[in-house]
Amino acid sequence: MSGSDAVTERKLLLTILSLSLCAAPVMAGAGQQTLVIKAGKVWPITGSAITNGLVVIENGKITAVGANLAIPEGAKILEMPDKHIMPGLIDGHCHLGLSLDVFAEIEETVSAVTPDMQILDAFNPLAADVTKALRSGVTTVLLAPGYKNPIAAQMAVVKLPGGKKDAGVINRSAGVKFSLGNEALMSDRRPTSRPGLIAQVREELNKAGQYQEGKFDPRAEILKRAIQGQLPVHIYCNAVDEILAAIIIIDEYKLKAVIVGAREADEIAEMLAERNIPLIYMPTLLLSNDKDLKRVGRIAAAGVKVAFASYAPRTNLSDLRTSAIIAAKYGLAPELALKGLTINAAEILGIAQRLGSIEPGKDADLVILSGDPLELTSGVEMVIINGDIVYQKEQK
Amino acid sequence: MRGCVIRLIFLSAQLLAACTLCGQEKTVAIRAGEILTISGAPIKSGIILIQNGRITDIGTEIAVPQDASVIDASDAVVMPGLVDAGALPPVRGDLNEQSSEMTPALRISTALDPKSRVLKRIVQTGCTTLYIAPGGANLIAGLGVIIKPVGKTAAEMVIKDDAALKIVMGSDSTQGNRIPWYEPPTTFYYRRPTTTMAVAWMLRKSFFDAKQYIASHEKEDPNMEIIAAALQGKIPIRVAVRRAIDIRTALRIANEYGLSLILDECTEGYKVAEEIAKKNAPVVLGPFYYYPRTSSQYEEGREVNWNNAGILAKAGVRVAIASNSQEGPRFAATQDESIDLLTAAAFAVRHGMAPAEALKSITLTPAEILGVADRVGSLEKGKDADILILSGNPLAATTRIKRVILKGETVYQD
Amino acid sequence: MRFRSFAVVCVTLIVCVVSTLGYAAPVRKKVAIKAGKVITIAGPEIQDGVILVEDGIIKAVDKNVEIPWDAEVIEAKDRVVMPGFVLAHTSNGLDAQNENVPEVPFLSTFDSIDPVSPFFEDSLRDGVVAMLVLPGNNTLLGGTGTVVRPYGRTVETMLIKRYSGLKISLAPPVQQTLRYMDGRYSYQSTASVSRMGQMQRFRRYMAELKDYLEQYEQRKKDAKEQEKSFDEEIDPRKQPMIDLSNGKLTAFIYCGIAADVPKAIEIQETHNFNTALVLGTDGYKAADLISKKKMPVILDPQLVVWETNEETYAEEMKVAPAIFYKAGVKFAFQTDTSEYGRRYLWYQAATAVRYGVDRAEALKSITLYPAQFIGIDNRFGSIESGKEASLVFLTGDPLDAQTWVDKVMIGGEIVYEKAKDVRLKKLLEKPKPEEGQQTSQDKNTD
Repeated sequence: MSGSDAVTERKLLLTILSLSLCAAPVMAGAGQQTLVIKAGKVWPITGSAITNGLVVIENGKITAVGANLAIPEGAKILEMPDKHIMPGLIDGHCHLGLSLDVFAEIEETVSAVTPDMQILDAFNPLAADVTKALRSGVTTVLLAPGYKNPIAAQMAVVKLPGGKKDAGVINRSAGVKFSLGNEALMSDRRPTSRPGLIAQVREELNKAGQYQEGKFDPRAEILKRAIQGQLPVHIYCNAVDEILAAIIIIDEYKLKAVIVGAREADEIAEMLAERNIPLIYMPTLLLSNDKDLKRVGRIAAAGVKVAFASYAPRTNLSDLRTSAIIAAKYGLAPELALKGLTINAAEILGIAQRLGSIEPGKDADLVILSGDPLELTSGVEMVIINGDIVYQKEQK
Repeated sequence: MRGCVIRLIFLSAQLLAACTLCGQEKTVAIRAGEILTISGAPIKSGIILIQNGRITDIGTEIAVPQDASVIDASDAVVMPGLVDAGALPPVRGDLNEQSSEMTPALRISTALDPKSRVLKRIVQTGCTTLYIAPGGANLIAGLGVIIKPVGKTAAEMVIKDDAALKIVMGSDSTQGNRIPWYEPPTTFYYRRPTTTMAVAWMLRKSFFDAKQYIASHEKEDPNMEIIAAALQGKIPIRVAVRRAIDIRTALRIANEYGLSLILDECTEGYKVAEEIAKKNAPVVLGPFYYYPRTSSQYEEGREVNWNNAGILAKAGVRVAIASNSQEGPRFAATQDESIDLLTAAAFAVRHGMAPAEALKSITLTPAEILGVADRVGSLEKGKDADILILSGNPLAATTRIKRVILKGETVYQD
Repeated sequence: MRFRSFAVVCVTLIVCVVSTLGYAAPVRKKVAIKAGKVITIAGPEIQDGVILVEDGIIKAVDKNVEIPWDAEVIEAKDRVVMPGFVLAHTSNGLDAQNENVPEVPFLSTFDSIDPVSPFFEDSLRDGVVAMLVLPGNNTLLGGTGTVVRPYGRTVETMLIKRYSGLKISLAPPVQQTLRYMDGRYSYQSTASVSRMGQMQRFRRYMAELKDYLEQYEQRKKDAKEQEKSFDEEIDPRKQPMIDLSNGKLTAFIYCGIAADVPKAIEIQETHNFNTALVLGTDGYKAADLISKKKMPVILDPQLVVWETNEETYAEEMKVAPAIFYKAGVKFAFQTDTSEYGRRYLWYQAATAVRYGVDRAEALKSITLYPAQFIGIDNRFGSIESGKEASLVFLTGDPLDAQTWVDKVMIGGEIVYEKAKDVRLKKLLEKPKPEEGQQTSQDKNTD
């Protein structure tokens, strides 16, 4: 090979390199234009609502939000002057996409203590209820096992599948679910009694405390992380005595805990507030009397952080927002209702650095509604996940 | 100058005194037509002074403080709040842990529901101290707790946890068995004892194992710890028995191991009254029935004697009358009724018990049996201000409870 | 000669003795009861009263009554004597309370009363002298009742009044089956027909009955016109319901829940039956409704019901007799042997007084009112001249928990004495050790 050939080669290499470097941003953003949404009202959640605001989305992330912003070159602009835009809703507790027979898949009833199991292994992203769920405005869910195990499987945080990039699993092991409700009592498997339930939970946590590294004991290993506060624990309980029992265990084993369900928590809200224990409240749709419907408002007013859940398919994912609306009608402060659907859930699930509000740097998971999010008459018009439009309501 | 300073000091001293007085709770005084102290002779036209939830003075010549709030019960009868040594459990879920018939470390105190309607009803019938036992389906059933029926959390209600170890020596622990027909045993329902002799053997074996455990002390076993503590007399043992033969078995085993016992239910206790008295075992009777209603009552408790309480008391046995109305393992653990202890005592008298003895059997005697007689069970200086104000003789069928005072607070008023 | 007069004297003596033994001359049996207190129910209570009885009928009752020289005197100075208690409704004492078929008004409890049933022995022991035994609560038209006294070897000797009362039940028949599931036994109730089905059945029956009668009358009329003889009788299976319409029978309508009461009232208003309501535990909720109709009411044995106030979580005691008393409704009690005082009518009355019912009214509710409800108040329910001498001798005031029934007199005869009650003795006294039975000297228990 002669000297000039080597130079030509080098020049060629350089050209290709520089060209590819130029192309890199193009390739990287291949198919993803900058998206700018102009909405009648923007609800960032972490700041006040913005009338006639803008949200700028680039590469699947929010890069700017405000009124009177500079619109980047070549951006695709969506004009929605009479619509509202808010962060994609986050469902704090559901059983979506768990195979055909949901209840069989989520209740591992033969064995009472199963923290080594992971609910994600039962998740079917192609299930009908998952695809239908996209039109609900919910973009991220916490998948959980059922209520019949005192110590159930590990939960997962999942973004609803859709869009060009498979954003799927955010956290395979988001925590362990405990059930301290009477639903966990079975007749043919321990525990059959309430005191037995408490005794069994204590036994398992005590065993975990004595777990030595290196020994094969997957359950104890996982529960040890729970006792050390590294793995959150979501405790399902509804009645006052159940919640009180949960608090005793949380205090004793210093768990990083969340109460799920928490129907009657208003009666002991101060105890939860002083311990900073957040709640994922049950769907208000399942409540039937005034007295119960007023509870969640009182809990939030006492300073407890509250997020919402749909328990899907027990209620539909689209009912998540309805839960918050009903709660607001029965006394929950509107801003807390909105927070409960978004940032509170994100904080509780440990994903607030990327989800839960419309702020620069966060994932572009957004839902566009035909009206105020806390009005029942508002419908979901468009859902965006990671900057891609995954659902758009058909225009007649 | 000095005078001003002195006056200032004097004033501030007065203010300080006034403040400390403000900090102290106001006295409550009850003027009663008749006080039945239970521990002593009745006091006619007496006064009870209450402060900070305790009785500070009681008698006829008592000075009532100026600022005391006075309850006028001058046409009423006053007696101590009742002590139910076997109350209806205020628990929402199932009581019975069927997965094993030996559950010594099971604590009913972990399952208490402070919101239970049982507590609200029982207060209205005059009970101010309750012993809650674990479920009766297991041979060694677990640990009971003594509570007062008022409190926002279980902890606020409890006055003594691990109050007694419940042992059930009848056919109760043999219930729920499924005899394997054509398949091998697959659930824990096959493992339970099925005969009375097996029940006695299993009890002996657990005591034997506990003794080994005390001697060797290898590793921590919560169940063995409890049985060991009971063997060493640290936790009282309450044995639920119905038939005379089972009572004898219980006494026999107790003698073998040098144990003290409290006997529960004791439907046929009247047949072996002297033996029980000789053993100095107190008895907690209940429920009373004319005809057996539950299957275990049919099987083991058919031979009733309405005067069980009277016969036992006459033989020198300490008798407490309680609700003990927890049905057997096969039925729902909680009922929505509550037994009226005053009626129970009235009928005990009707059937042959002495009136003073009967009143004691729902107050001081159960308090002594439960080990809380230092605070409840009679109206004495220093004891908790748990007081009932009645419209008349407590043993009369037409007497009403007008007011229930618990720890100095009125919790029910007619 | 001496022998002859001796023989004459002997024969005369023998004849005299034999005549007094064998000759059944109608001697009027007279009894005088000297009581510490007489509660007549009809008037004020009488201290140291005397009751004169002749042939089982009360002749007089007063403080100073002249006692006939040939009267048997019963000393009861330390006793309270009052009319024997009347139980206005019970389904005990039968082998089975309910027939499987819903419409059987022609059945009669007379044919299934078991004189040996412990229920009657207990009732007598507890002071009941008359009771109406009706079919149970599970049959729409259950059958007719019988008024009996709880004393007698056969139903004929127990009989006070036959063909008395017709039982109607508005509660759907409930079957309780004992099931074994999940390691425990439980009773599962299955209703085989709904409440609306029950009412519809009743309406249909009455409509068909009306039809039947009209056609019967038509046939009768036709026969008369054609001057033919007419000997067709009314179907005996329908006779009791016809007698109900004619006022010959009283309907005892069981309302399992308070919501059944308006339906019972509808039946009464539509068909104009004499009606008494037999209520369930929540019957007090219909007190105002019933007070407008002034219908007699027979209360459930459970008089005290706890209600939970869902808003405040408070528990309130509802006492049925107190509520009905306030609403001005006359009531009678039922009993059951579940606990303590509920088996005694007098204790039910004491409970009523405890919660505010007037004493006299409560005592009437265990004597006169039930007698009126079942139509035997001409003979029972109070101590008055002309009524049957069926009385209870109590050891104390009827509203005292310590009172026992000491004696029961039925028709002038003492038929029960507590002192001679062997079964009761066994239930109250310490058993004597039998031969060879282990005593406390037994080594094994040391």
